[in-house]
Amino acid sequence: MFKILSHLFWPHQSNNYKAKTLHISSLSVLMLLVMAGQILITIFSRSIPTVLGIASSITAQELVDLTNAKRVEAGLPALEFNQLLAQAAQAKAADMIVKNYWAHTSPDGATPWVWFKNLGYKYLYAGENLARDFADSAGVVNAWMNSPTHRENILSNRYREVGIAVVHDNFQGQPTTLVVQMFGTQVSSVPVEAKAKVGRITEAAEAVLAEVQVVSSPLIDSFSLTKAVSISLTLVLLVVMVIDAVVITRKRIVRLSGKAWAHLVFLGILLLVIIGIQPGLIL
Amino acid sequence: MSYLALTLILGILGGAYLYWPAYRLGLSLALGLSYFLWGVLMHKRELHWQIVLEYFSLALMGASLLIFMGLRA
Repeated sequence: MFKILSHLFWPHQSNNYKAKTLHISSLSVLMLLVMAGQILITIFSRSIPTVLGIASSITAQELVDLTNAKRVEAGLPALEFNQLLAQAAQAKAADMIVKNYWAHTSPDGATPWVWFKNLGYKYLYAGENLARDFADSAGVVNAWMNSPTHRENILSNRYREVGIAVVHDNFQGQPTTLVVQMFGTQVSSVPVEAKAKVGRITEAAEAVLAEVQVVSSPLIDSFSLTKAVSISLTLVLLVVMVIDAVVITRKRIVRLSGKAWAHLVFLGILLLVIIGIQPGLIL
Repeated sequence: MSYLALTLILGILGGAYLYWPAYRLGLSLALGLSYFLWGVLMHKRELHWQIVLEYFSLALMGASLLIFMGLRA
């Protein structure tokens, strides 16, 4: 056992003074294992999403609360939840899933404002924020607040109402949680009946949330699994590389190899990036 | 000096990867390619195929990990 470990991780005669893990053949095998693992994760996350998938605890209510908290912090009035805007947001999310696009404007040229008009929301001002693949509501709102254009939407004093859709579905080949946030201010001619009641989520939105919570609670989160495997692999290579560099330098062994310091810099930066990566995209 | 350049290039690309999620695929490839090219350039006087393959395999592995992470994120 000790001999095998030594052969794998310690440079000496049996591995031609280079830890076997760092041989090109071993790196190739590791590459193949990583690829095979990713293919398996994709297959399992589709076939058994309750076991392996994306974990998301995003709710429309939390997004409304967090958005309003940011507005109140900035001295702005809270936005009222509007059912028409929520329906428009759901229609937009459904359109993105059906037509397989991730953009404010659909491939056939439909702008976000089409969804407002289709549902009879006559707006004076309107805006849209999109997000996908975030693990929780705070992550979504923080990402929006860190982006100048999305932040401008959240903190605009032009808007009076907000509607949010949180939809979990297979999107662009993988299980995804899509968030569509629509802002608006209705023109004064719009009848009062068209507006939703203030400060509460509608039944339709609650139904979507319930569905999301059931579907998106897998035992293993595919993002976390991929991140853990990537960190472990990089860390192992980094440690073996350090051991290799120290032993080779101490024993003053001359061999044909790449620069150890360069490998360490590359793996170190790779490790930092992998640790730093957070799920989610905004648009 | 060459290590500083490598650190700067990889650091900037790594930072951009985290800051601009929409460009993760391209930045992953750029990061791997930059490392591979740096390795080849640094060894141009004693360039052996084993060394080229060593940089290539590490660069490919790094880029692949970043691409997979980007796809899952």
